[in-house]
Amino acid sequence: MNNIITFGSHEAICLLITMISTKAILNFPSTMAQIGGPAAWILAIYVSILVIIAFYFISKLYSKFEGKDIIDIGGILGGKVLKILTGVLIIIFLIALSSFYLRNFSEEMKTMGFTMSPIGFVMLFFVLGMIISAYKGFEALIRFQSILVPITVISFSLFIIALIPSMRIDNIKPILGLGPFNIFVKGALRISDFSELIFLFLLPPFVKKSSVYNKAGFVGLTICSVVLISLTFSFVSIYPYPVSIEALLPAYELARIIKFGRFFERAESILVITWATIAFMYLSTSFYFLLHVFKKTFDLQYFQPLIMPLALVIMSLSLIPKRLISSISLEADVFRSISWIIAFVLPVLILIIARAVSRKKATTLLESARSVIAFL
Amino acid sequence: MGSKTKRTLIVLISFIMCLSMTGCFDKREVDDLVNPIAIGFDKGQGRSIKMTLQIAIPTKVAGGGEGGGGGGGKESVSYTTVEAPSIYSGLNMINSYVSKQLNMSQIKVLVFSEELAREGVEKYINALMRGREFRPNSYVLVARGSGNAAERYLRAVEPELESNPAKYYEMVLSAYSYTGFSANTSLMNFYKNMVNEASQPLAVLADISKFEKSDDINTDNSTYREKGRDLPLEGDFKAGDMPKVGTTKSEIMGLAVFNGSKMVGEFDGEETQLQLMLEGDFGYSYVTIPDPLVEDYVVLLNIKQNRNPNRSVEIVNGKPNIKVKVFLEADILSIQSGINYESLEMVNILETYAEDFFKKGITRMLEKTARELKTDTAGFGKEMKGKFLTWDEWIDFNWIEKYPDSKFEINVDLKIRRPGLMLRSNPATGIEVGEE
Repeated sequence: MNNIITFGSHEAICLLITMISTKAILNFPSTMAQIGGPAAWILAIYVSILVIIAFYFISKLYSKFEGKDIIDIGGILGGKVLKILTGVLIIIFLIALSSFYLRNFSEEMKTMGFTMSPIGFVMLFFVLGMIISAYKGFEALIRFQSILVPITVISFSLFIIALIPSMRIDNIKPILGLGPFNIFVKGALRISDFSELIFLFLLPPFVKKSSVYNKAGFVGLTICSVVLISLTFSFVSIYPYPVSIEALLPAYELARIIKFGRFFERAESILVITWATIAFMYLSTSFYFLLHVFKKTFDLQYFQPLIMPLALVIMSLSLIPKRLISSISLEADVFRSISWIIAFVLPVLILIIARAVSRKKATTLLESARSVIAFL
Repeated sequence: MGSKTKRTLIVLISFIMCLSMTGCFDKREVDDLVNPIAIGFDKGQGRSIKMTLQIAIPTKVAGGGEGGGGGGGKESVSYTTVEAPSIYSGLNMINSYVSKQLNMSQIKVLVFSEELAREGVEKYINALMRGREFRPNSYVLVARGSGNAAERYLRAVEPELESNPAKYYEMVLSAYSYTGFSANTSLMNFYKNMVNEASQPLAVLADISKFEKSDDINTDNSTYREKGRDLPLEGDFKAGDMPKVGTTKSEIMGLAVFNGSKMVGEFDGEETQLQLMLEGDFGYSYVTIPDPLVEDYVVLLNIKQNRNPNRSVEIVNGKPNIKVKVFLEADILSIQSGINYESLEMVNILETYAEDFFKKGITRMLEKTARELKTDTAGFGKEMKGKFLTWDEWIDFNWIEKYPDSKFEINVDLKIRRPGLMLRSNPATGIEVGEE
C-alpha cells in the first residue's frame, strides 16, 4: 500500500478534472456572477486563460525536476527544514480544503434531498467513504476515477445540451457586466478557484515522466476550463443578473428547469446521485493526498495510523462554522483569497530558487572542474 | 485478519447495513404523502392570506376503488381552505388535520386572486422560490374578480376529459402553443421578470364562466368595441367572459399584466396572441380576420410563426423608438365570401390586409402597454440593455421610466403559403328565396 504506484496521463487528467471541475456544481457560477455580473462567463474564460499561462511557466520550471514533487524539490533546496515547511503549508491547505468541501457538500446534499437528517449524519457517509478509500489505497481511487470521470463528463455534456433551449443571449448583456475593473482586476484573484492545481505539483512521483505530467496538466486544465466556462455561461444566460447571484446551488437550479414534454422532468434527482459520486471522489482524493503529504513530510513509514485521527480532525473542523452561509463565505471569500499563495506562489518560488541554485551549483562544479584541469 | 474472519465480517456488516440503511431521517412513505396539485391565494383578514389547496386523491386518480378506471372532475380531488399568516404556516396548519403529510412537489398551478395580485405578490413569490418542493415550472395564474376569486376558481375546476387533474392543468396551460390565448407564465419566468429591469411579469388570467344556459350568452364584456370592431372575434374576450356554456366552468384566456410585483392590467385573448408574436413564442392558431373586400364576412387563417421577430430599440430625442418586424405564415382555412383569394392575383390583397390587421393590433397593444399600463411586457428592455457596456450604465439609464414614452414602428411580413385542400373557391349556385 505504501509503494508508489505509477499511472498514465488519462488517470492524471481524470484526477485533475475531479479536483478542479467539482466546483462547477458548487458555487463557482454564482461566485463568478457576483464579481462579473452578466459577464461572469468572460471572467471564467479570463481566469482559465490565466491558469493555463501560469501552468505553462510552471511546467517549464518543472522540466529540470522530472519525477519530483514540490516537497522533494523543497528538500533538495533547503534540506529538511524547507521540506517540512513546504509540507506543513500544503497540509494546512489540504485540511482546510477538505473541511470546507466536506461541510459544503454535506450541507448542499442536505438542502437538496436530506432536509430532516442531521448534518453530522450526512457528513458521516462522506467521511466513511474517505476512510475506506484511504485504506484501499490510491490505486483503487485512481482506477475508480478513471472509469467514472469520463462518464461524468459525458453526462455533463448532455446536461448542458438539455439546457440550450432555455438559454437567452439577452441575459448576458451588458457585455462587460459589472465592469472591466471587476472582471480583469478583481477577477484575477479568482485564480484561486484553480488552487487544486497544487495536486499537480504532488503528482510527479506518480507519473514519473515530464511529458506525461505536461500533457495531463494542459489537457486536464483545458477540460476543466471548458466545464467551468460552459456551466457559468449556461447559468448566466438562463438566470439573468441579479437572479444569478441568488442561487445557492446553481447546477441544482439549472437541473430543476430541464423539462422535455410532460414525461421527462425532475432531472435534479439524477444530479443528486452524480453529486454524491463527485463529492466522494473529490473528498477521498484530497484526503488521500493529505495522508500522503503528511507521511512524506515527516518521513513516516506508514500513513494508516493517521487515517482515523485526521478524518476526525477534518470532520470536527468542518463543523466549526455555525451556519452554511458562514462556511461558504469562509471558503469563497477568505480561503480562496489566500489559497493562490500556497497553490501558485509557493511552488513557483521554490521552483525558481531551486532552478537558480542548481544552475549555480552546476556552474561552481564546472568551474572547479576547470580549475582542477588547469592545475593538472 | 484471516480470510474466514474477513468474510464473516463482510457478511455481518452487509446484514447490519441492510437493516439500518433502509431509511434515514428523511424517509417518507409514498403512501403517507398527499399531493396538492394546485394552490390558491386570496386576501385574508388583516395581513393574513387565505390559502386553498386542491389535493389529488391518489386512489381515484389511479383508477383504484370499486369502479376502476379513475374518477373524473371533482371526484378525483378534494379541497381545503385555511387562513394563515404566511404560506408555510398555512401548510403547517393543514398538515395538522389532513391525515397524510403534504408534499408540494406536484403543484402545477399557483393561483393568486386579482385583489391580492393588485396589492403585490412579491412576498409570496419569494417564499415559493425559496422552497425546495415548489417547482419552478409551475404556472402562475390570476383569478379575476373580487373576493376569494382564487378559491372560487379552483373549486370550479372540473376536468371532464382527464381522470388525472394534474394532467388537466398541464394540458390546458400548455394549449397556448396551439391557441395563443395564454402564455408560459412559469414561476421561474415570473420571478425572473419581476426582479428584472428589462421586462415585466405576466400571469395567465383565469375565471369561471358567467353563463349558465346558452340563452344567457352575450358578448357584453367583449373587448371588440374598444378596438372599434362591429362584431367580436375569438380573441376579443378575457377569462370568464367567453360566450360559452358547458360542464367545464373554469376558463383560461388572456394575461394579467404586472408592473414589478403588482398587477396593473389585463390582456384579452388577441392581445395575448400578439404578445406571443412579439416574443417569438407564438406557435400556431386559427385567427379570424374580416374579409378585405366584402363587409360582414370573414376569412379564417391558420397563422404560424416560424421565425423570431426582428426587434430594435433606438433612442431618438431622449425617447425610445422601438422597431419590430414580425414574420408570419398562414394557411387558408375558410373564405366565407367565396372570393378566390387563393389565386396569385388575389392572394396579395389578402396578405396585405392581414398584415395591416396584425400591424394595427400590435401597435394598439403596445400603445396600451406604454401609455396605459406603463410596463414593458414584451421585454424591449433586453434590446436596450445590449446597447450598454456595463451594468451600472444600464441601471442609470432607468429603462422602466423611459418605456412609457416609447414610439413604435411595427411591420408585419405575412405570407400565405397553402390554401388547405381547395385550390380555389366557387360560390354556391341557386336562387335565393324571394328572388325571381
